[in-house]
Amino acid sequence: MRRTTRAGIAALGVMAIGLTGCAAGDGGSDGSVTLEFWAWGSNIDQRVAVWNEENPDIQVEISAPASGADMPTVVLSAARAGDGPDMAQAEYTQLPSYVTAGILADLTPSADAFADKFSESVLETVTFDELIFGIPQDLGPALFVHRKDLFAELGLSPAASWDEFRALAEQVRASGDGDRYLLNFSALDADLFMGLALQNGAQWWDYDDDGWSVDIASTETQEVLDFWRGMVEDDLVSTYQTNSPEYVEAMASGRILSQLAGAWAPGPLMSQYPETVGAWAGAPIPQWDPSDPRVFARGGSADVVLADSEHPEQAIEFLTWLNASDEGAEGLVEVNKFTAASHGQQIERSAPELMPDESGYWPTASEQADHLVAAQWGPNTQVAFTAIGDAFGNAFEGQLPWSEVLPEVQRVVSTDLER
Amino acid sequence: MSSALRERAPATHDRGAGRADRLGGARRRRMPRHAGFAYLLLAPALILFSIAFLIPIGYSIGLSFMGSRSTGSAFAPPETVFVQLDNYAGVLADPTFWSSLGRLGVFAIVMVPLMMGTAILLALLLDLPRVRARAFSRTAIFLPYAVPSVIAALMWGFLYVPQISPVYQFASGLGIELPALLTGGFVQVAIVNVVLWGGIGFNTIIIYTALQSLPKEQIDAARIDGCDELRIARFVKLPHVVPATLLTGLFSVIGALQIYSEPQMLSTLTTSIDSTFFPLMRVYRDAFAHDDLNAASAASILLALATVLLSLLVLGLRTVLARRTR
Repeated sequence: MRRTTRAGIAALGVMAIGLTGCAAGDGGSDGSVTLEFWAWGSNIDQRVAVWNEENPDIQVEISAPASGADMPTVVLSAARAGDGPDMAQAEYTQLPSYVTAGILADLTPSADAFADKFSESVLETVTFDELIFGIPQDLGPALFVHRKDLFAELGLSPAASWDEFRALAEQVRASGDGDRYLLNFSALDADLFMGLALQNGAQWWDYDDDGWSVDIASTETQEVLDFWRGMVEDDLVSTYQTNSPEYVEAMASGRILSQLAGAWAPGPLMSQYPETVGAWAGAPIPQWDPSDPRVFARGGSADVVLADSEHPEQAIEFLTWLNASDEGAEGLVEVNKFTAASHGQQIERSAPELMPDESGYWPTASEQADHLVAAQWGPNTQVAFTAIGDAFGNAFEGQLPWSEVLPEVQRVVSTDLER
Repeated sequence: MSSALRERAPATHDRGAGRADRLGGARRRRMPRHAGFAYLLLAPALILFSIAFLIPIGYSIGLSFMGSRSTGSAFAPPETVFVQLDNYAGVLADPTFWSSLGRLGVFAIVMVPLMMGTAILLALLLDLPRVRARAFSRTAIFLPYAVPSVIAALMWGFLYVPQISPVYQFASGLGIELPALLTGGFVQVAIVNVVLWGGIGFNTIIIYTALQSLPKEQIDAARIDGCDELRIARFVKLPHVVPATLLTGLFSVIGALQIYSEPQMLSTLTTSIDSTFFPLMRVYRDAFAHDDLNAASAASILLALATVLLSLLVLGLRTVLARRTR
């Protein structure tokens, strides 16, 4: 039985290679190749255009078959059907699911070309079992992005610790008509909760020779959950679904004063609430122990080469240029990325369009990036995200006791790991 | 006489049998040619039916008996193996499967009677003599059916959110505090409302059309016998639309079992609808969030079987009712 299955898989694989060949299109007889690149990131097409101009032999076709969260489904199904692209953008949280699915090319042999362009902790996020499976593109060190105009109006300043953060939230609730909130804590932002737990020292996934283990219902996570449970139960944060009409209305009318967002936040805020230009500023996120700052990331992504690609060398060449080379890093800065490459973090850059007078925004982001804690994501991060969304939603509605939230998530994630 | 009969009877029998034989023989001889031609004509439909229906179902059934099992180390690709009924057992053992079925049951029990009742009422009203603006009303009632359910859910969703809804703003202007429909148990009301809004038009038109086939004489006879409109509706029109109502009722039941896009759409607005709220949402979660097509297939097949059973039940009910009216 097992042998037949393997033979079947092998046959599928062969078919897959054939199909990819057709789909990718090998270019003309002049020896040029065309690479397919799936990426949702904004403005990356501008960088691709620059590359295509300079490299007529290696043409890159960029397309966005899905946005960030839906990308793994699309990439995994396409790769399994043998119809995957040559390269794809992947959030750091999504990398393990690709690696365990076995659809990625091992980049370790070519790593000399790009490894020294990244700090060790950044490189660690794309390294699995000592093999490198991606080239980091951008980082999302968390920042406390807040309405400085409203903060000034209410005489508030950003909190250094989580205790101060709670006091700040109380002050905001007590102000005005009582319809303002410091922050919206959405059940949909599971990655934020995961980051908050990480900041407190939780490590949800781990692996050894026997495979994966999961430790979500830990003391560290419970402490963080208790803090936010208090915030929710005492009505100190709103719990609108992110990007629901309620949320958008509250953001637009200044009833939500801040976000715990990735460094990329000014971009989306700018396109969604253009009327708030100049009203925002960035600050470091609150800490449990301000003398030992720990920062988590929201989002951030790497680019991967798929194992089925017929032109892995050219793909690696392109991605090295795009993400690791000094020219590439400068280009990414130009299109508003907070680069994973160290060079891009160190160069002078102008303030984000959303906050034209905040020249300190990017330096603050770099400082936060220096305190990023290493995260081990699991092969089923998406399962955890969905489970957290469900459990928080049910807890908000009183359908699930708060004490059951972490055990429930742990149960769902470990059941899924065991199959 | 009787002896003559006795004599003739076998002969008749023989002749009949002989004819049957001849006919049978002819049919047998002709069959291949006819059958071949028939299959040729059927081929396009059969091929499409296989591609669009049989093969996917077969593939799903196949998937539901397979599973991916990790091969030990953390980053080794998992292996696809035959797991017998494990996926089915997993689905049946999962409490969220049963709770989603429970919510579906509540939804269907509330939605279907409301849908059929309102549709019958509207059809009877449309069928009243001397009704004004009949064509306009018919179009107005039918129009929501033309709105895709995703759009309908989005539209109603905006009306449900107190902060931005003109309905809530109007009500609070009058000093009325409407319940927030997207919280707690009210969320079922919110979903039922969207489905009713989109479905009543279709059902009304079907029943109204059935009413048109009622002979005028029958209604006239009832009127001469002294029936007012209410009695005509109760004793002449209602019995006449029972078969049509059962048919549309069956569609409604099947539609209820397949409820997906409305709650999925509304779930982006509220925390009251989680990813396993209704069975099909749970299937979607398994297939796409959990990347577990095997469990998703098993749950789908269980749902399909339940749908077939329920349909047979409704059709059986129809036959029984039809017999009783006869």
